[in-house]
Amino acid sequence: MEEHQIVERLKNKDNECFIEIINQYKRKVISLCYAYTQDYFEAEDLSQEVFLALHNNIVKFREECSLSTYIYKISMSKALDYKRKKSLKGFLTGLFNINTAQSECDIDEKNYTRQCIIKLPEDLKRAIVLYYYIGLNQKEISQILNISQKAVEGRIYRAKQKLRIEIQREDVIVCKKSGIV
Amino acid sequence: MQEKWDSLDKIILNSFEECEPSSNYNEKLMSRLQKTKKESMNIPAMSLILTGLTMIMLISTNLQHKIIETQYRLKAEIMVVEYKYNENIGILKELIGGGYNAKKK
Repeated sequence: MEEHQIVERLKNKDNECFIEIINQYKRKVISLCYAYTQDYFEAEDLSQEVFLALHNNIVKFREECSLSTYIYKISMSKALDYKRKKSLKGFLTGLFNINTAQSECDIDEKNYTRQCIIKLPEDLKRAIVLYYYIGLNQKEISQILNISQKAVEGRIYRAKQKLRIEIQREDVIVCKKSGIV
Repeated sequence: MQEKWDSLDKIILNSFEECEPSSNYNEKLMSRLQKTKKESMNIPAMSLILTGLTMIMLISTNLQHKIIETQYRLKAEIMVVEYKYNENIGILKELIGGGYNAKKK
């Protein structure tokens, strides 16, 4: 089935087609949300909000980009909304001295890399998440983020530079702790 | 653009955790969808519209003046009834009082 037909069916509120779309994208959308929430249940909840927004706003979709780009655009906007809410919540918990920070001593390389990605500036983080985690190409990312392909390439490059420094620093700390250096 | 993936690319890619959706993901989503459909009638918007309509009705029909008019008309009627009642009671008292005094004599 062509994408235009799928969009038309979605606009006509065809539940069968909607479920097909959910099944096609849910893993990637949850993964994208997980990169922001760091909590599986919240990621699933957020991904459902993405699909609800898709269902409610598909009538406004003018097919200027592909359906997948549209879905990821909604996902990014929902993830950023979540982050904004969380930062407000974090500010309030900080006021009451509720310390929920995870100890950095016990995290492995995989988690450490994830933590480093989370700590990246927002514009770099978006590019990295979409490129490596969701597997989109630079053209698709440029459409989602409304920037040029060159800018996407630049952001990925700068993010990698920052991550390289962080990972090297962690390696030095690990070597010092284990007495290699 | 970088063509071959280096070790850092692999590290970043390995840090990715694929999330497995729960078995009842679709059911949960569909039930949420039904819920939002039911709640699609925006309550604050509806109450605002209803308030506006009520205001228009009140102004165009001059209802508030009619209510006040009815209130005063009722008050006037009550006063008339009260006056008549007191008048009748006075007459009765006079009659009974006169009879009583005549008996005494």
